Amino acid sequence: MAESYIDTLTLQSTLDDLPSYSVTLDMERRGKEMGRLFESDPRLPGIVVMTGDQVRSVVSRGQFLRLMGRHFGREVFEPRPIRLMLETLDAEQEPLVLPRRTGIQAAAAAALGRPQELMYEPIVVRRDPATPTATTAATNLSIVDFPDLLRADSRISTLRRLQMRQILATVEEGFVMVDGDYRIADEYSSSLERILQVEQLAGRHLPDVLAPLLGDRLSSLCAGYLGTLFNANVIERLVKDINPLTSARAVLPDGQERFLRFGFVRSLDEDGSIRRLLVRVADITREVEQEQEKQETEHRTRERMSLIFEIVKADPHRLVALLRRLDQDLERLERLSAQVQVEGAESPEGEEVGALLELRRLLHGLKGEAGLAGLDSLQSRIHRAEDLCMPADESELELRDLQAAIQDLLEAPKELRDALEQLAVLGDAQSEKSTAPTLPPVPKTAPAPSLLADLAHLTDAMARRLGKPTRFVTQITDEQIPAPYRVRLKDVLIQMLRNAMVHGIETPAQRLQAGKPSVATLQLALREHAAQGRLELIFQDDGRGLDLDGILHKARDMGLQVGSREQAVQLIFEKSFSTAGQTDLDAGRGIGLDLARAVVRDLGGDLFAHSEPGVFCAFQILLPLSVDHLSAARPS
Amino acid sequence: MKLLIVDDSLVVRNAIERSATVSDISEIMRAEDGAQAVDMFREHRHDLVTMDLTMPNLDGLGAITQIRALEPKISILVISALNSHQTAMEAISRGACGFLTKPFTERDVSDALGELVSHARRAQA
Repeated sequence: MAESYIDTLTLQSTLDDLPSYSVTLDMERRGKEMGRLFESDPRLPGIVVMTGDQVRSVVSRGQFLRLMGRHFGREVFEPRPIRLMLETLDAEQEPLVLPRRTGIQAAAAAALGRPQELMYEPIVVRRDPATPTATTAATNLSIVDFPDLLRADSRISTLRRLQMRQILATVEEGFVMVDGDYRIADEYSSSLERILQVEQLAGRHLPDVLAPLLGDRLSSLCAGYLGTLFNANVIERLVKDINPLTSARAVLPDGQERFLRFGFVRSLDEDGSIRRLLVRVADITREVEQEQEKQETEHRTRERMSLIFEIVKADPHRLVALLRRLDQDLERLERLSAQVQVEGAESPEGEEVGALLELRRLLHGLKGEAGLAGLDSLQSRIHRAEDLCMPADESELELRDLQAAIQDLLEAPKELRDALEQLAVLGDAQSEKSTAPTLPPVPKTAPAPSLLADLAHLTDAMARRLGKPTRFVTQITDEQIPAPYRVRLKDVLIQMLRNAMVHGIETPAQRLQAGKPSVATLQLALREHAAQGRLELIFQDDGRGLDLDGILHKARDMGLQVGSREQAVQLIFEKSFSTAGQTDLDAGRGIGLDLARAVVRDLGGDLFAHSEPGVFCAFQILLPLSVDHLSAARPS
Repeated sequence: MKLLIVDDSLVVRNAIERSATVSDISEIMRAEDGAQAVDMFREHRHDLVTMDLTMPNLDGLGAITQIRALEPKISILVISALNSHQTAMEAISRGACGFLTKPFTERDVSDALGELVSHARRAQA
């Protein structure tokens, strides 16, 4: 048969697709006849021997030649029945019999698995094992020559490799095999180099390749996970959850940030041992970005909804005051954030950057104003930006995130106005349809809101939110505080009020237990010391007082020398000095009191704290009685 | 096979027990912390263990180490929140053969226990 069969082979080919021979001879015929058959067709690998209608055995060309080659072999076997040959051969091993549907590579593996002396024997193919009738038994067996099988096996291997190369060249995902030393195999998909932007990967240690892209932490986790998968005690499906690289942030050699998903699958040997891992790498940046965008949009929608609800409930005067302040401060905010970017880039680990501090103060003031207007959602947004200004470590300042948060805030006035407009339209529509009361009109211009009313309002709002019933008490009027002070002290007093509400005032249960009335009191008092030319403002709460132990402990931790208790109390005005474990919307960070003292000193005065544990905490603001020293150009 | 459920939360212990519907599990015992788990294992020699990681007295990592020292072929499944990949892999390297993250569904647990039973059968063969 011509060797054209080679060209028709596919990866699915079986023994059926190979040249085969079905020459039969009855066992009562003489050996000489068998010799003639082998001589007439030099390619004939073997002959099926029958007894009557039954298949008796198979004699291969090699077996026949070995018998003839014996001493007097020809003389003994040629004139006698083939039966004699079979009796001699029966001592040898049975021929390899395989079903016709056996795949080429499996058949080759079985043939090569035979003992050395039988390696080159032909393979007997059983056409139909289920056929019971003797008449078809002879045609049910055919013989395939071993070299034909070997040639076919080699061809299939080549096909397999070609197909693999084709797949590896066209597949979008990165495919690669790693061995037990985590080294990359020679063949991997060309996309892998494109995805990782790294060439010549063959033979390299996978975690080492990933370290510059994913960072040391993820690359070492990757090595740990590879070890987990190579651990034979581990159930592969039950460690999928702890794959650390399902969405790994990578910075590629071109400087771009991408998100990569790594999948790992064991490749087992026939004996079940884990020989290699198949690693799949996909760039999922688009998916991740889409998901982030979706979440941001949802978040934004929720915030807009909240904003509308909050505006409906807000006092129009406070809303207008907030809008004014936003208009006034946002430009500065933008300028400062640009400045932080530049300075941050130059000295990421240097001294506290001036612009950053200024930014914090500005944000803190704005946050207070938003809270005063009752716009909690806006307050949260400002709080997030403020948080970004205060990384635990200066070097961890995420400039991009901060810039994004500031950009987000710059949108706030427009959003507020849009929401107001939307409400106005709704209100108009409603008033046309029914006689139901419309939403309150928002005055285009409004008188400066009363500072004391604002403080009382904030006390109510926080008391409700924190579940700490509190009243704000004062004997004075707005007019008693000189106008220039009134405007600038607003942030200071708001900060003190927040501090008191969050840290100072106890819960009603705690208060009752301490023998105090369940409703707490905040007081603001004013005294003029004409002789000394000083104005004194006292803001006092009847809460638990300052946590002196906590302050002293923290001071020791920070390596500060503290003399008297009075000295220790003043530490609360130091930058970043806060005894609260974590920051929240209301207080708990040092910046507030730090800001307060800076403002008071800027006005030519000073700020002190006094406290009696369990009884009260008071802030004493001392200011020059005359405001002449303040420049008229100072922004109001 | 005998299963030992180790978790300091009663709710979680109940949820795991409810999900342990694999037919090969004939007996279920429960421990509230790592130390109790090691004591119970020493006495009863369970075939399967589900192990939480964060627990009082002796944590999951410590318990895995001690139980493996008593029986190197034991099949342990960690059922815990994935707070740190490092800790998860540490649990594996100490001898757990799988990690199921909380929160889980009953189906998650029964599937995982099915795999654990097969693992135990192979290990004990």
